[in-house]
Amino acid sequence: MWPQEGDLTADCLNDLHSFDKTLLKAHNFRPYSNNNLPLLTTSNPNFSVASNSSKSTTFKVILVDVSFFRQRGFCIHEEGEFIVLKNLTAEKLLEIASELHRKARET
Amino acid sequence: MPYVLRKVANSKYRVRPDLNWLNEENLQADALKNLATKNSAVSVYKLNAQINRRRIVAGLASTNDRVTKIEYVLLEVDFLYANGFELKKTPEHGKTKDSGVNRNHCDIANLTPSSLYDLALYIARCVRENQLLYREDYVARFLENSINSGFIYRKDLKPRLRASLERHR
Repeated sequence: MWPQEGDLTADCLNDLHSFDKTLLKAHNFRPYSNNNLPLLTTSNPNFSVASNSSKSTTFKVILVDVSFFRQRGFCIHEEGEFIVLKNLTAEKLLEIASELHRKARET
Repeated sequence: MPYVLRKVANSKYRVRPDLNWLNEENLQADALKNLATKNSAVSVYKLNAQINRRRIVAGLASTNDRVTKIEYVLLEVDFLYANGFELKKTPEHGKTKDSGVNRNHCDIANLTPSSLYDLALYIARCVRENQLLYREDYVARFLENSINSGFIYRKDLKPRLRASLERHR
């Protein structure tokens, strides 16, 4: 039977794409588009608000060390207290999904 | 050779001069967004003697708000099977206004991010070899043909699409 526990399904990529709808949009961050993925940083004043947001019932916070992206050659654009991963290839997007999946299983 | 048809945005799979960080071997992340899955499956329609690409395109257009061009790709069923993809007949997932087209709906099922990526690469190869699209006026004509043949009922179309179709007469 598929999926089994621990399998990563293709639907998890939709989560990355819809991230903006539940969170970023509410805080006037630019949504995922044109191969750019914005992420909140923990130093952002909105972070605590966002992570306790009542706007979304399904949102979960996953913390990823920015060094993960640096070490893997992501194009990182720092905009104040949030970062945007730019010029994402499909392979890079899979790397992010895989890392988030790994982190989610840890917590 | 059997084929399935998938509506795509060609620009997401091409190597474009404005994306100079992308090379022939890469795909932009937006290509995966264009292949959004539901229950980890990608929706396609199988072609056969009764249901040709024009009828499927009319079916796809039947749920739109207005008549627009439709870009699509034809995927070889044999290639999909040979590369480990699961193709399941899922007429209940067909969402067009043509029940005959819906009967040919299939899911490329049980996709992982990695197999979705492989599928996107295959689509990119097809698009880069041959970009397929029907212009707006052709789509309008196919819709009218399906209506006149009784495959689609005009009353089932959204009022804005009906008005848009009128303008193409």
